[in-house]
Amino acid sequence: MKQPPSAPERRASAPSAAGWRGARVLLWCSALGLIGCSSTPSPGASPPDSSGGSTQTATGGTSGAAPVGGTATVDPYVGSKAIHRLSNVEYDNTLRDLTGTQLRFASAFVNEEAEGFDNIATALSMSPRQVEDYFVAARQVSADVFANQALRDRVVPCKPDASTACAEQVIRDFGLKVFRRPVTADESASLLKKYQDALALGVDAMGALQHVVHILLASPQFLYRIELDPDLNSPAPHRLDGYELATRMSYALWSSTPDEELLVQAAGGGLANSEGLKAQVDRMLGDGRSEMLVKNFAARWFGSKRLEDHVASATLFPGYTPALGASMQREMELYFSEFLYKDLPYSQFLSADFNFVDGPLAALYGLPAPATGMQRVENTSDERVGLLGLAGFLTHTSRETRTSPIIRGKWVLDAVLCTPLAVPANLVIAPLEEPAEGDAPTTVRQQMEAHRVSPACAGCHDMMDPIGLALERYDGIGRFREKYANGLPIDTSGTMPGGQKVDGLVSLVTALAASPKFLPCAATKFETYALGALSTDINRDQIVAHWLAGSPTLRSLIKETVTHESFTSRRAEAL
Amino acid sequence: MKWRTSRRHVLRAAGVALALPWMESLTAPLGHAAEAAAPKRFLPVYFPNGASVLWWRTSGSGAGDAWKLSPLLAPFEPFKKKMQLIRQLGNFSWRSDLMTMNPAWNTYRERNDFCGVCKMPSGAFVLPSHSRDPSALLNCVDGDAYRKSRGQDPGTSPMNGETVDQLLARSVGTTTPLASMQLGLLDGVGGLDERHSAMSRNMSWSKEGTALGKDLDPKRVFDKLVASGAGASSADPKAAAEAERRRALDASALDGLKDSATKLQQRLGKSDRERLDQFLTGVRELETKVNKVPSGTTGGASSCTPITLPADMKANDTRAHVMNDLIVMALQCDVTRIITYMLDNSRSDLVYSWVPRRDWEKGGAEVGGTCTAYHESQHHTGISPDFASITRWHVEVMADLLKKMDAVQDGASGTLLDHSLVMFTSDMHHGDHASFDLPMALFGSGDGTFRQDQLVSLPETIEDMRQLRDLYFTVLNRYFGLGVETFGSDLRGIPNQLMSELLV
Repeated sequence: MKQPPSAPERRASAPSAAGWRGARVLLWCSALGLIGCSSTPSPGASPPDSSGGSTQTATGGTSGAAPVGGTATVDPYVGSKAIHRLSNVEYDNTLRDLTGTQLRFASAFVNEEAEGFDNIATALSMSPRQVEDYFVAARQVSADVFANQALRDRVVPCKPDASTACAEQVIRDFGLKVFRRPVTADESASLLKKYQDALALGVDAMGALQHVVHILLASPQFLYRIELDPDLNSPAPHRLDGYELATRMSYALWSSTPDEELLVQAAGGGLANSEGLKAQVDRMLGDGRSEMLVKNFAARWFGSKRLEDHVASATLFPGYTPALGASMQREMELYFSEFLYKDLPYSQFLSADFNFVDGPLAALYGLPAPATGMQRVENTSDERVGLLGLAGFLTHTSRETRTSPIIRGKWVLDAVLCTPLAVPANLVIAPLEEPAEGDAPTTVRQQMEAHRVSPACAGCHDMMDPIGLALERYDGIGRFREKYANGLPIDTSGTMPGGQKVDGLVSLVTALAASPKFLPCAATKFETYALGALSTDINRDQIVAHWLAGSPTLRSLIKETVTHESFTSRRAEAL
Repeated sequence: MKWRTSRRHVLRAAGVALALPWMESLTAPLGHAAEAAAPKRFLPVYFPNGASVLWWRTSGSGAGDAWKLSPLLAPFEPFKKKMQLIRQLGNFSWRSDLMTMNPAWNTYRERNDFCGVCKMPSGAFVLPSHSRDPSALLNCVDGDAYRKSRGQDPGTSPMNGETVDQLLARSVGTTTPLASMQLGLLDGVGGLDERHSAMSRNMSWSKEGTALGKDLDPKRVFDKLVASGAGASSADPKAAAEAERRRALDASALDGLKDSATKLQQRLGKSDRERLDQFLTGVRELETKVNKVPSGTTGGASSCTPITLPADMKANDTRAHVMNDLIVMALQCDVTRIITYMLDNSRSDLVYSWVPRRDWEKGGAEVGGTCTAYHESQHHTGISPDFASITRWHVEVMADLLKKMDAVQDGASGTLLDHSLVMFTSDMHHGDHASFDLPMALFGSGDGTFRQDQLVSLPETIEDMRQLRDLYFTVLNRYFGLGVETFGSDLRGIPNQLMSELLV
């Protein structure tokens, strides 16, 4: 039996011991694996049971070569996930679902991001400022709940009197929801003591309960998702208990706390097997809270959230308004939702023939305006296909005044192929001049060709440039154009590192969709987000093998991920 | 690597061995020992992305009338007599991987800043620049190496070495209601350069390596100051009793949180115990605060009066002025003496649409339109009017703060500015991303510790060049008298040196 690696290795973006040469090699390997590298088997070719027993990929991390088919002899990598502070979004959602309060806090909290997501456990800190913020917020929520009869009745279904019965009931029942597991006898006794402290300070019984709720909502058991190991000295993987799994499920799919049903399933053993978990996925996707998969997960994965801060030059793009930006963002959300909720094959994500338009967006696309609101329209023109043809994607990857083939190329590589590019740490170059406003448009291509002359730059630019240049027929707000504003022709031709010729959106999308990295990348992104931890090749390959053996939709990807051992198990930290 | 050893180096090295006498000589404030101590204050103010090269169009050198400000820095003219402008002060020799990754780091290369024939060490480029550079600005250590040494992932962990302001806060912050404050003005979003967002959006890290964040909302800052005693006291005994009960309840709640965190720790592995230590540190600090400042009482000097916040603070110019007022209020009321202030985040791509585009090569004439995205303008070919105009806007914000600090009498003689050291700087030179020759201006004499009205040009040679760590070393020992033996790291392996050229 193979031992799991001691820790998931990081991607090539942080070359350390390997140095520049090592980084170059990794980047070059990535480039070879980018498109149809013939020596790399397709991930779908051999589901685990029919596998000839291949091994894990050598590089680890998320930017190694394409996944190898067979997985039968490899143990999954089961991590010792860190205690997981609620992200800002999760915090607001959780308080909303627990108490019904209208108060929201996240926008004033420290905003922490890493790996493109806002929920990576090791990236979420707890500074004195944050402790104070949480303490004050908990006091405010508690006051809000107790000032509102309807909200209070949910938390305090009994009448507090001289006995402590009601307080004990609140601690037990509301405490279960706050801690996402039963409150222990010791915790209960401590909280009851605080209830009595408040009474001794002259606070009435209801006020003393408010004090208890304040403490509950500022507690580490609430602020962190905590999973316990039965034996801190044993590194053997063990399955999570029902409450821990319910918590992983609800934060992965809802970015919020488990509901009553999940807690009931947790207590009754309903999450102890894959069937139970898969049934919960179906139920939870049917719940409105699953919109967080669209508005937080996909929004960061494909960048639609960036449209909230996007600025386009009013002089050069007079048609662009914040409202149009919001429509573009909404279209990207609806596009992803269509795949998520209607079970479309994810393989069509880059090539689907539909758009969602309102009046202004229809005008931008040259389509008839819908009668009302935002409507799905079929669009079979080759001018628009799939994700990369969406105005929102083309806009958020552009500069204020112009397109940026570099940004577009970098985004496609990261979001579609999970090949993030990093500037090597010791690369000593003056910053590259990007084309300035007013330059002749041909200089976009010429300047980028200048990058590729330098071997130091070619490693990345050979990968980014053909992708970005293939999208040059879409201007800085995603409008189709036949030529540049000054009348010069647009050349969208290029050669991908694997040798394929591309020329424009459709051929680019065809090349990308054929890449052995395209489908596995979706698995990498979801595993990273669902766990709040870096993904590993081993787990990804296993999840992908199962996923492709069935019908590969986003729903089935979610099911394969949450039933994989990396999601259902953990182990104690190595000593 | 062989270093030319100067007499200076030998003396310093000997000083380490003879710790006591050396420390005395380091810390004895020359000629100021007997004076009644004015409060000592340190305020690093940061602007991202480096400065326009027009910053360096000064003339002359030395003290007094022998040097002149560059036209771009004209807003500093009223404070020139309380200012030192430093050239060739860099911050890159902390890079622990420099020797292995870039063995030619100490060869010279041409500078890309239109300065004529001038050069700098190749190693002055630190990549990824907008995360590693800003996160080393106040501690002069390699954050990647720090995180690795603590088993943290360099790319996703928010941890970093303790910054100079926090070292000071631990030592001198105990006398004020707040040991330090961290403030921010603009929250521009840009790329994170492969590190945790704290590396580009945060300036201060605690001794434990915790990113302290910052307050961007003037209302929150105001409330914090008032809650820390910078407000009118309440004469109403009923309100006072209620406040006391609230305080007791908070203390009870905090006690409960300490208890549960401590018990939880016993059931967790080592890394998770350390994570909960951060929580516990926060709870203890809050506890101190709750116990130290009974709410509703006045603290600070008799001249302490709360400002009035404007109803509408959406405009960036307005918020900049209000934040300056709040800084002065914090100092005047002696709520704190250590404030770090970020005018924007590193690699901010915020569109400075409220700043008119001016040609600062030609006296600042408006040339039409407003400024574009900050980081994009940083990398403009040639001298970007947008980038210069944005630098100028930050200079104007800074000048407003200086004006306000200099208008407040502090004690029997001198102003708040006189009794402070205000540092105005960035983590890189300009669009070249080089951490060599940082834009660096110091204001205030630190109650007579620092020279005034001079332009200091430091050596450019690798053997003799000075690094930012030496400035902090000088501040820590000569201004605050802490007797710190070493601060920051330097791959040349040479000990810290006092920057006597800055001292009276």
